[in-house]
Amino acid sequence: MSLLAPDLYSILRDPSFLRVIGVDVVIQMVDLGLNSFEAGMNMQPGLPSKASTNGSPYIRGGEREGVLNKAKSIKSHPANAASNGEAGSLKGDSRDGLVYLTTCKIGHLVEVHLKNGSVYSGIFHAADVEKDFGIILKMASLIKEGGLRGHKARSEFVRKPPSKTFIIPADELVQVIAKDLSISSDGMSNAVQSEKSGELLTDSSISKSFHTDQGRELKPWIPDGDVPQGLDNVFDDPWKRGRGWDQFKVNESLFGVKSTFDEEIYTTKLDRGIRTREMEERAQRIAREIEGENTRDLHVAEERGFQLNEKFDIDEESKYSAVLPADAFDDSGFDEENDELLDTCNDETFGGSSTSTVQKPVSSSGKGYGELRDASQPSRNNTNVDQMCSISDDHAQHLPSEQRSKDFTAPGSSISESQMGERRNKNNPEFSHSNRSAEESVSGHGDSKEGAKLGGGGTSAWKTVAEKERQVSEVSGKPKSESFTGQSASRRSSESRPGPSTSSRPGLSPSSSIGSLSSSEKSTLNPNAKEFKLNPNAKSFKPTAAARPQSPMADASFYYPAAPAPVQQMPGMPLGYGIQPQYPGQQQMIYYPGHQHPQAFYPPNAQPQFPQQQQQMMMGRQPRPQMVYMPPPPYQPDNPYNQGRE
Amino acid sequence: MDPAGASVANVIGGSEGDKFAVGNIYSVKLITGDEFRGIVMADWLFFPQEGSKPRPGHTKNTRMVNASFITGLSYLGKTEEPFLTDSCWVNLDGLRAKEAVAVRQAEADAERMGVGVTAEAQSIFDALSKTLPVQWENSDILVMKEVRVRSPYLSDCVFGGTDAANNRVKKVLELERRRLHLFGT
Repeated sequence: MSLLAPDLYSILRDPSFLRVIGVDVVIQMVDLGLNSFEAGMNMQPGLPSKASTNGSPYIRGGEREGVLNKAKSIKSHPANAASNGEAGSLKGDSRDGLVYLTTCKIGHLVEVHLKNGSVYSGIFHAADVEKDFGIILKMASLIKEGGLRGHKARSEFVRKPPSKTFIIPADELVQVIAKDLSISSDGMSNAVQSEKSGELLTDSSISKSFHTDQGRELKPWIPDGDVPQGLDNVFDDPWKRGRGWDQFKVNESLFGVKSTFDEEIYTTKLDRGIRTREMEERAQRIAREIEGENTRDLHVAEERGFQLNEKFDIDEESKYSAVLPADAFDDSGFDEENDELLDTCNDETFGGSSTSTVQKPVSSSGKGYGELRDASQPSRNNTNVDQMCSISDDHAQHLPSEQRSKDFTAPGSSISESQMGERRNKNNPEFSHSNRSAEESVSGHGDSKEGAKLGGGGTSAWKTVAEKERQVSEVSGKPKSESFTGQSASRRSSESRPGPSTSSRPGLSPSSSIGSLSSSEKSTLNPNAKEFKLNPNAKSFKPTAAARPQSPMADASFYYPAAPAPVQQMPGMPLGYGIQPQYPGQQQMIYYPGHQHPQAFYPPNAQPQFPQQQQQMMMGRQPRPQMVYMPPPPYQPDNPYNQGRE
Repeated sequence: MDPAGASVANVIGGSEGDKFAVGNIYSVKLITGDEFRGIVMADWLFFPQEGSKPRPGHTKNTRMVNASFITGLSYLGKTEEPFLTDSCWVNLDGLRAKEAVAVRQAEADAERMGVGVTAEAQSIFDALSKTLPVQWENSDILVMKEVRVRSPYLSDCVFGGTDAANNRVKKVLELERRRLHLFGT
């Protein structure tokens, strides 16, 4: 197999050629020794030609011209490199490594230093491994002219065209430098790498111009004298630093533009009343707790200033732009919070009959929920909790529009409610999209509406809370969850339709929640209202027929706020909706007027209510002695009373 | 002159005679004045160069040194790192392809080079080529095949082409010159 294209081969063999170039071409192609392919031109005197094509007369004459500074431009073919075939079969030859390395250099850009100091740069083409390692370069160009001229800067050169093929006899060759030569044992990778690098062109490499300036040295900008001082930190933390930068002021001073910006148009007006300070402190504390939490989410952690674990070697890409694997749970921070909340809630709830029981859940649901505290008084724990349990569960479960939060004006904490509502809005909207399909609370509370009411409150915390509650209720039985939920429910101030859903737990009733609510300090519920106690024997309510069936229901505080004040604080809440002035003192007959489809009160996928309640509380399904007032479900658009809300 | 492939002229310290043992570290001084340090990778002529950060994929800077030109040699030590295994495979096709690519690239580059032109001219050419299609015509820069910039490549050396093209080339030339002066070439 000819190593050189026939042309070059024959040219080089041609004596006339030799005369022309006046040198002996001493090159012998890299001969890998053993095998089938020839070594190209066999110039060795006396050496049997390995060329299969011919008995090439050896060209090398006795004399060797030392200097070969310039080669004639010979139209070069992409002649195969001298080393053909796999070199793997070479063994035991001390030259093996040498040959191998030499072979690796084929196609590589190398720098050749000559004896006279000249430096040529070209593509390594062939080398005489057998003999003395003369080499052939392709497209070689003079980089540095040696000899008399000394070291000249490159730019001073008058450029000469590169020589297509440049032959360097070994005598001249001082050294051959190949930079970044890939010398892995696997020959495949060599070629593959170069190909790969050829394909993956970065923009900068594509647009790079080899011959022009790559750019200038960048220097940091240093302001000259007339730059106003003190602007460095203006934007650092406008909130904390008391508004170091007020754009409106500046605008007005500079341009006379009067601003009509009123913050309260865009956000909830903070009610800075009497108890503001406590609330604020509480909120601060809660905020601190939240911010101090551990989180698995990288971004959250970064915001909170957590040091990233150094050993993870996370680069910018994975930090900021990589796509998380699909199995990563969405709200990753959840689980942590979940457990924490659970524990804290439990502790708070049961560790002591502390008033500020629901701190944690509240806080987790968002800062500024300071309102809610001691929603459930210890005394109320049982029943309230129960109810709350369901309520909050459901709340957590389904948090549709935040409007719902406004639905029921729990008397108590109208402030809290509205605030909560808004704050809820501010908080994770994700909650509002949570499962509406009344996946009834685990405990079986079917009050999806309550969830709805939670509305915008949907922070992960809430969900967490809900889950916790559920778990709690499941695990520990009623009291726990009850108290817990009671608190949360009171927090939510109302919403939860005590109705059927709450029926799951005996004793769970709107009134109880109301009671708990009312027991809240912040609550504006009627403090005198008695606790609602569900009467299991009560007959079920028939909306159309029964007006106010005599129900043994004890007087209890209504879940729904009694007539007083709170009502007006719930915008959009039709007065007649839940607040029937005659309720207090009367039967707990809160029925939804015009309720045509009792079924509708339950979320379509409502899980079956708690059995005991089911019989009694199901509106319209069975006669019920008591009818609990249920706010129109969010999914009852036809409800005239909904309109105000929606 | 020494016959090619003569063994090292002189060996200082350590090792031995003609052949260098693989893995030895030497500090080598050459007749050209170059000095470097390297590990012997293969038989006597091959010296990889230390010091440069190896790129992934086992790339190294290697030198092939003609032993006859070594003027000074000092043995520095030895490393056990195995450079080459017994079964070294070379993908010739890949190498050929690599060479072909390199040659093509070099040829393309050669086209950009003016023959017999000063370096300044060349840099002007390069600068123009960033935004305009240029080619060499003897020592003239031919822009867009119609506008010619003659030596010494000043703004008033721009001839030919339509007015618009001419002006454009003039402007680019001016600015490029300014830039080149500013940053040095």
